[in-house]
Amino acid sequence: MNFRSQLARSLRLGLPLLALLAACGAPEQPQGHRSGGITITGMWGTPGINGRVSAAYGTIANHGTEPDSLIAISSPAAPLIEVHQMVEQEGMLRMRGMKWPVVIAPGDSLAMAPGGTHLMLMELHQSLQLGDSVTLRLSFASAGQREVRFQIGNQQNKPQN
Amino acid sequence: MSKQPLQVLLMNNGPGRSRNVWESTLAALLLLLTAILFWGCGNAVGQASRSYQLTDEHGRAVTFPNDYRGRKLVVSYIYTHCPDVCIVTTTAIEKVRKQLAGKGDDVSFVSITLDPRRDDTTALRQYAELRGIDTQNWHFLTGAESTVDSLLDDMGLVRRRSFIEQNESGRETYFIDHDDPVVLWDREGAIRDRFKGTTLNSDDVAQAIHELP
Repeated sequence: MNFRSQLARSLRLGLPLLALLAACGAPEQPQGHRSGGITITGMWGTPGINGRVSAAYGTIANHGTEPDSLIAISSPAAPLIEVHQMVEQEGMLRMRGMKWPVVIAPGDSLAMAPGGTHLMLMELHQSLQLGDSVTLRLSFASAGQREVRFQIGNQQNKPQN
Repeated sequence: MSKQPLQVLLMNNGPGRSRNVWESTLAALLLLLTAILFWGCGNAVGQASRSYQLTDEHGRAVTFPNDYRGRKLVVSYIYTHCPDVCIVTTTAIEKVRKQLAGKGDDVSFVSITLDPRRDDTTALRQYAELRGIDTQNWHFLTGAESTVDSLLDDMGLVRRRSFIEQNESGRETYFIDHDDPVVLWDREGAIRDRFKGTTLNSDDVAQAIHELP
């Protein structure tokens, strides 16, 4: 066996092996959408009637070493999107808007779930039905702009994104 | 002659003892009265003071609660601009309904709007359809604002408009802070139990429905 054929054989066997090792050694990609220290995971939304509202839930986490701020959210689905919190006062469940910017401390997260904090999509351009997809653009002071796409579902059967 | 034993009692035992006898008798009578009331009313915690003319999500006239007499009834309160709380409650009730599948033929579900000004029959029908709710035994009721407000007051619903804003086109936007009860009525139209919608345990509600006579 001459040098050239030995080299060719080595490459045939070695390159796939290297590729396999590279794949095994690659850092694990976090689920969801990552930008800078920000990850956005588990997003889903509720059905809503044209001209009315829908809520979206999920978790925005700051894995960085500095605070980051959510400064704006937009979507082709609705002209106005706000972050709202539900609080119980005077025997009533009261909704309160969180002031912009929404600061997320390092190591902290904005967890949004039914009955608590949520993104409220207001004045929907069209009705959102089970299975529909919605795109959100979230702007962060440090991490920049991120786009997430999620599905409309319900609490009992949340779509996996 | 008939008063003599009492006179003897008074003479022999003094005024303090006689007061005790009267108090004991009164207490026994009160207990008897309470027992009679419970016998007649079961454990009812309230009922509608009158009937209300409403409309369901298909535009059909409904007299509430009279039209549901003879059936067990699960009543909740929602509005279609509600982004979160009402949806949590509605989803929880749907879970109860599915849990009762095959055993709940004598149960009706009713969701009454907190916002009759904006929730017409079309909006309520869309609200149900978007969530895949079968409206055969679940009705979404609205009506004249004054009628619905009277009903909500009658039911003791605490509520208040909030977030009142006008958008660019001048249209008023508002939300409603509100209580989130899910109320169980018996076949006679008496309120038997009350649960909190946002923390509703479907097993508890299904059990309470099952235990109603």
